[in-house]
Amino acid sequence: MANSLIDVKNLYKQFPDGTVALENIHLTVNEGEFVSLVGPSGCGKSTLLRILAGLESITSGTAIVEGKVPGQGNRDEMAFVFQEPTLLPWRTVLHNVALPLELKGVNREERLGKAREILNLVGLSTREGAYPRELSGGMKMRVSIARALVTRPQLLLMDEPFGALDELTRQRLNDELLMIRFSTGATIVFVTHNVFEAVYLSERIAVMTPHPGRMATLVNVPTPYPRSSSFRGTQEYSKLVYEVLSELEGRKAVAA
Amino acid sequence: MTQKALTQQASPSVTVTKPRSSWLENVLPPVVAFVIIVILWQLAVIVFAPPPFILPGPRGVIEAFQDRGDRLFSATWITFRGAALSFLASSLIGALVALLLVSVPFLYKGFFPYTVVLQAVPVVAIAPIIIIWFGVGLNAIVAIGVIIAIFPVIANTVIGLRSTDTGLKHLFQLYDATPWQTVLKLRLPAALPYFFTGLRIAAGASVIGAIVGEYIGGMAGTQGGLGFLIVELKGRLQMSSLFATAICAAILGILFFAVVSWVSNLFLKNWHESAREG
Repeated sequence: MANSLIDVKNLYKQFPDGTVALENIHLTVNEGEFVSLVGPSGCGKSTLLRILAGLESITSGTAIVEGKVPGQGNRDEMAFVFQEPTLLPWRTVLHNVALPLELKGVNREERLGKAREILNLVGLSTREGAYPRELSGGMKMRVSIARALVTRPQLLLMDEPFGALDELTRQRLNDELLMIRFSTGATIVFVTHNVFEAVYLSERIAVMTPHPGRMATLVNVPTPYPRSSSFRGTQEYSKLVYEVLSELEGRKAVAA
Repeated sequence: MTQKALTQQASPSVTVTKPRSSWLENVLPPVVAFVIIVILWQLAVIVFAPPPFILPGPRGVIEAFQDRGDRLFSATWITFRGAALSFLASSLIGALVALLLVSVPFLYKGFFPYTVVLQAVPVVAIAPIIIIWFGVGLNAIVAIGVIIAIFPVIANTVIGLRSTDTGLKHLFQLYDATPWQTVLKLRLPAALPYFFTGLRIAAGASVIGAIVGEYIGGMAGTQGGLGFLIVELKGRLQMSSLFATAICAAILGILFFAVVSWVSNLFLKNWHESAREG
């Protein structure tokens, strides 16, 4: 039986000012899956991700992540990648990546060793002594992902991590992310507003619509991994992109 | 392809460090400007021939340094001692008070507005009160110095401690960092640039505080600092010596500022914008 790592049922989220951010959300993510949440701004996709991380409370309904209620002692097995690289500017790349282990009390030698292993994986070994401000946007994001991976999490929650990058860097990091997923076996929930990115990366895409945030539909991407840039040129890819776009526009495109 | 080629061309120019402009290039212009000003000053004294108790020439000031060198040096040393003590006390107590204000919401709400407002209180207005309380001497001078130097330290450090990046706070929250870890590894380092801004202001303020304290309360005779020397020389219309004293005070202020800037740069040079140059 495929173990569900995330199980969200009938979830509502209302902010203190009264806006309904999420309404009637159902979502199951199985172990090892790559699921994207796609939608325009205001559809609650980031809020949903933050709820899964335990950074936001739930108004009603349930969310179970790795067998527990989010934010209650299940964070050892998960990691979060923010929209911004959120690196400590006063620390070198190596010590930024080692931070999660440091906070867990892992001794210096062990945590630096593990940080170096991960830096190797993301191809940043040569920059371990650099400070964040010396790095390009893409490299900062790689460091941020390396930091998330250093605890060897089972679940990776990513909140529009490549939104601020140029197209070429983004595509390169997409390929790197798939490679990382292949070598770590992590389950990934990926928030993006970029439909092309979502289709390229995911096995399933949850399409969300705004005001209030609802889950319109789930789109399956049957193309097997490994995927490479040539996938972007296939008819299957275009069809899937079109399908997701139509769902986002509320099927108007299909009717036309 | 073209875009790839472009980025490849562009990236080295970003990472390559600029060759350090030569020492001469930086130091020569201010030195030349200084010499020009001194020459103009000397010319003005020769041409207009003002009485020496109104405007002494550079030569008179140099003579004052020669005649009263020992006295000037000991006065500068005494003022330095008072200023240094008030600076150290302000930095230390200021940082601790800031930490306390930020940790206890009631204290922050109740007292932080006062720390902002109290910066505007003119020190000459309270100096006599302090001197009556503490008596004439080093204690009173340090107290006056602390009163004007501590508030910029508190105000800046509090702002620094409260402006920690939200994303970074969430990051620490996600890894279940203890409050102690969050303070030590996130909030304190993040507040450091603000703290040093406070220290730069405090550096100048503690020199002013020491001189004002001596000026108003002072210590007579060989125990007197620059502030007292100023009072004494003013009474005797020793204009060239007053110029020499002012120069000593200026050098003291600049020295304090330079030391704080150097230490600040040492801590921030790798990561903070404020330390990029110099």
